[in-house]
Amino acid sequence: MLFNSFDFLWFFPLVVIVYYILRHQYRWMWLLLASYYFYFVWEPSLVLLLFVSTCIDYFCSIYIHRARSQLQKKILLYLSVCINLGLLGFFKYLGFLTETTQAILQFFGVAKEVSMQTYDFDTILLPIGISFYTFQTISYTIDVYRKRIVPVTHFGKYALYVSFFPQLVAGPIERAERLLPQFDRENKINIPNIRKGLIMMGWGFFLKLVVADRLGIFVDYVFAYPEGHKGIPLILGSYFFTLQIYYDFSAYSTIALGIAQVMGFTLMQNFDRPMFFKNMSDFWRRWHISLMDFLGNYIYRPLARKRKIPKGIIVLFVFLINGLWHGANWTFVIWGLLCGGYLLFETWARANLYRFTISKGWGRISKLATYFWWFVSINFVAFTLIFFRSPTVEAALGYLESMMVYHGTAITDVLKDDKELLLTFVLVIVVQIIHYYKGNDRVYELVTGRSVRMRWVGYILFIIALVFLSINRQHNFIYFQF
Amino acid sequence: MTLVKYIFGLLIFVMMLVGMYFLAMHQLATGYVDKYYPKFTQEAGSLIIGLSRAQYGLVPVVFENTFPEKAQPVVNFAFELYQSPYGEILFEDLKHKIKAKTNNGIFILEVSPASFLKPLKVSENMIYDLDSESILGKMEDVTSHPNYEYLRKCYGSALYKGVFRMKPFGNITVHDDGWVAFADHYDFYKVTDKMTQEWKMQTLDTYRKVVALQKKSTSRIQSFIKTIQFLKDHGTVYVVRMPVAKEILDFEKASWNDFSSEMDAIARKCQVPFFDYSKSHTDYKFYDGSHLFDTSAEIFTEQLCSDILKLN
Repeated sequence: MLFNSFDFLWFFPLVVIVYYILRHQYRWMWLLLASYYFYFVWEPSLVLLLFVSTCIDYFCSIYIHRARSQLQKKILLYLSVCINLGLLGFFKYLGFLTETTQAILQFFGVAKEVSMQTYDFDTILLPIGISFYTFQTISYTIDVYRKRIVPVTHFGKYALYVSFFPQLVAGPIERAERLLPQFDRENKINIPNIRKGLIMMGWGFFLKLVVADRLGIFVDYVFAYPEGHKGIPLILGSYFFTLQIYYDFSAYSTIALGIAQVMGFTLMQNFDRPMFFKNMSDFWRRWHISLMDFLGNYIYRPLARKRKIPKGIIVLFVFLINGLWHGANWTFVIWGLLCGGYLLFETWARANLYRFTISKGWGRISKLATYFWWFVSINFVAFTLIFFRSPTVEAALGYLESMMVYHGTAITDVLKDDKELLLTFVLVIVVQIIHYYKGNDRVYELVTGRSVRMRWVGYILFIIALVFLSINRQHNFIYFQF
Repeated sequence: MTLVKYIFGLLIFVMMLVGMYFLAMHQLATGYVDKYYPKFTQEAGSLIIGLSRAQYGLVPVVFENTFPEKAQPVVNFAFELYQSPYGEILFEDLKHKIKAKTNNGIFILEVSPASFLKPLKVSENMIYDLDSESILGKMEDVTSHPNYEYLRKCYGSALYKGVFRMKPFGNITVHDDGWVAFADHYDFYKVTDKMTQEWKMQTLDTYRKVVALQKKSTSRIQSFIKTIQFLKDHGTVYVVRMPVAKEILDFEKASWNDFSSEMDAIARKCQVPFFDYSKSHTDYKFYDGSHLFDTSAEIFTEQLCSDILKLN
C-alpha cells in the first residue's frame, strides 16, 4: 500500500482509531496485523518471506544470547547474516551476479557468451522493502551478539519491530534499542503529539505530491531522451533529480515519522537538512542517516578497528556497499565508488587547503573555502546522481555526452509549459527556506503555538496547495525499489 | 482542548479537503483535460484504432460525413507507442467502448510494426501485465462524461489547470471525437522544414532505440486477429497502413521487411480489406516523418474513405 494512495485514506484512520480504542496489552497485535496487511496488499506471497526473515533472526538472536561459547555465538551470527544476505542476494542480486560472472568468464575465455542477462531474472519478484528490513534484522542480531541489547522473547513484538508499517518499506532502518522498548510503553492520547504527527504527514505529502513529483516530470523527460534535450536542460535535469530524490525520500521519512508520532512512537530522523551541508562528510551525516548509521556501525568501524586495511580502502568498500544496497546494477556500483572517492579526495584536499591558508595567515579565505567546497560538492552530488538515475552505464554516459553540448535546447522546450517550470522553481525556493529554518522534523512549529485563527488560515492554504498543486501521478516513492 | 473538539476540527479539515478536491476534479473534468481524455468520454458506433499515426492522421468527422448510414459517432480511439498496441487489454476495452447492439459500424484498424512489438525481456505470457500499466490497462470506464476514473488514474498534471481552463500547447488541437490535430502554425509560431527534418531524425533515433529492445510478438498478432473477428460482428473492418516518410519506411523495412505482406495475409485470412499507403511519401506532409499534419490528415482520410467507397 502506498502512503499516497486512496487505500491509505481509510487504512490510516482505521488503524489509529482502533489502536487507541484497544487496551494497551492488545495494541501490538493490532499494529502487527495492520503492518502485515499493509505489506500483504502489495503481494500476498511476500508476507511469507517477511515472516521467515523474522523467525530466523528471532530464534538466532535468542540462541546467540544463550550460547555459552564465543564460537557458538559466532556460528549463529554468521548463520543469521548469511541467511539474510542469501535471501537478499537471491531476490535482488541473482540476475546481476549471474550476468557479471558470465561476463568475467567470457572475458577469460572460459564461457563463449553471456547467455543470461539480468532481465532474464525479472520473473523473480523483488520484495518491496527487503533491503530495509533485512538490514534492520541484521542490525538486531549483531546488537545481540555484541551484547548491546538483550533479545526480546516476545515473538509478536519482535515481529512488529521488523514489520512496523510506517517504516517497513523505506525506512528509517531502526535500531532495536530505540524502537522495541516503545512497544512496551503505553501511549495515551496526546493531542499536541497527534497534531505534530499529522502536520508532519501533511508536510510529507506536500513534499511528495507537490514538489518531488513535479520535479519528476522534468526529470523523466530529460532522462528518457537526453539526446533530444541537449545542454542546459540536462544540467538542470541533474539538479532537479538531486532535489527530487531528496524531497521524495525525505517526504516518505517525514510521513513515516508523522504516522508513528500520531500513535505515540518516535522514529529516528533520516534527513537533517542535507542541502545545507558544510562538506561531504557532513553531507553523509545528514543524508539517509539510518543507512549511514548502519554502514558506519556494522561495516566501517569494525573494519577500521580490527583490520590493518588502509582507511581509504575501507571508505571505498563502504560506499561500494552503499551503492549495491541501492540496486543490482553497475550504475549503482559506479555511483557508490564515485561518492566514496570524492569523499576521500575532498577530505584530503580540504585539510591541505586549510593547512596552507592558515600557514599563510589567510584565515578569511578558509571561511570562503567552505562555500567553495559546498559549491563543488553539490555539483558533484548532482553529477554522480546521473549514474544513480540512469538505467544503464551507457545511458548515463550518453546523458553526460549530451549534457556537454554548448548549443543545446532551451529549458522551456522540455515541458513546453513555462508556468509549470516557474512554479517548480518557486516551490523549491519555498521548501528550501522552510528547511533552512525548520527542517522536516520541526516543520510543525510553523503552525503550533499560533492562534486558532492563524492555524486555520494555514490549514486552508495547505488544503488549497495540496488540492490544486499536487501532481496526480500516484507514483511510488523512489526508494521503494530498493 | 478536549478530544471531541479536536476530532470535530479534524473532521472539518477532512471535509474541506475532500470537498475542494471533488470540486477541482469536477471543474477539470468538464473542461480540457489532456489529449486522451475525450477518447474516454463517449460510447462509439464506429472506431479508429491503432497507434499515434492513427491518432493524428485519421479524422472521425470525415468518416461520419462520408458514411452517414454507418453507426455513429466515429471515435478516434488510437493512442501512442506502448499505450494501445494490439493485445488483450485493448480487446477488452473495445467490448465496453462500442455501443451495445451495434452491427453497422465502420472500424479502421491502423497497423504499423510498433503495434505488434513486445520488449525483449518480457515473455509472451507477461504481455497482459505489461499492457495493464498502459492507459487502456488502467481504465475500466471508457465511456463516461465526466470521467473521474480517468482523472484519478491517468491524468498526470495538477488540478489548478482545470480552474484556469488551460488549453493544449500551441499547435495541437484536441477534438471531442478523439482526433488530435497537429497544425503547422500557431499564432506567430510556425513549423519550418528545418524543424520537421530535425524531428524526423529524432523520430528515427527513437525508433532505433525501440527496435533494439523489442521484438515481434505472436500473441499481439493473435489478439489482432481476435479483434478483427470481434469487430466484424459489429460492422465492417478495414486494415490500414498509414503513409510515412521514405526514411521511416526504409527503417521499418530494414527491421521488419515483410510487414505489409504479413498484414495482407492476415487481412485475407480474416476476409477484410487491407489498404497499404506506406509508399505514399510525397502525397502528404508529415511533421516528424511519421505523423501527418492536420491538413494532410484530412486529405488522407478523404482518400481512404474514397478508396473504401470504391471497394463497395
